[in-house]
Amino acid sequence: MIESGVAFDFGQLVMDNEFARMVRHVVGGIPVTDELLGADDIAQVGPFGDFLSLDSTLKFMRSQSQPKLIDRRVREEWAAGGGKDLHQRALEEARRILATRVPEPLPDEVVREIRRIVDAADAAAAALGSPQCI
Amino acid sequence: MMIGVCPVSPLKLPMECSEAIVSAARAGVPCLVLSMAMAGGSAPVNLADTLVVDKAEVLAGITLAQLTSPGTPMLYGSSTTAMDLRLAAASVGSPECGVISAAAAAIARQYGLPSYVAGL
Repeated sequence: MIESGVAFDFGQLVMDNEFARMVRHVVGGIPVTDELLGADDIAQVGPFGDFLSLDSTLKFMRSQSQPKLIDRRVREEWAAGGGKDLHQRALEEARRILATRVPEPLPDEVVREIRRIVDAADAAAAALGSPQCI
Repeated sequence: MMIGVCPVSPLKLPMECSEAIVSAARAGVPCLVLSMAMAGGSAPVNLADTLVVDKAEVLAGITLAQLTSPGTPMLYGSSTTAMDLRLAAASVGSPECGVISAAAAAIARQYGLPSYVAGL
């Protein structure tokens, strides 16, 4: 929220969501389990080798942080892709979400219960001669 | 004044680095040995393993200096981070860089060495 809470920036909200995901990665620390430890891999690859083609790299690659909006490309690639700053990209994402999101409907029994409460309130209001709810 | 050298990950202390360390140690110049491994590329994808590589490289440089001239002042360095495997780019400033730097600083403290890590 900005302007003392008068305005809300959806772009900022989307950015904050991304930052929170990254912070969660840090708070998670470095997992240490028998399954994750691969001293054999280090010995197998040896000095000056690479780990790109190892099975363990394929298996665990998605454990890496994967920001959707933070752009890690080099400047030239970023510029060639339109050179949009983070807030611009976040606003576009917010607009996309607002345009395409379909809210999940309430469960039927919840809808029925709300209707029951409203009808009861209407009945009580009518008894007092007050205007009805919708 | 001090010198700084970066091993080539994984686990290689090239001739140029070694000569610089030896020369500095002989002259009593402080040495920074700073690993720049990339998890998933030049180090294992899991960060605990990456720290093993990072630490081995730094300790190799420190050992060389101490063998040359015991007591040479050392800095334990780390600019190790993840390689973003979607882009094949070092993700400096990423969560991985942060946690690895924190861990490297903790390891340095264990050895009683001052540390110099990415993100400061």
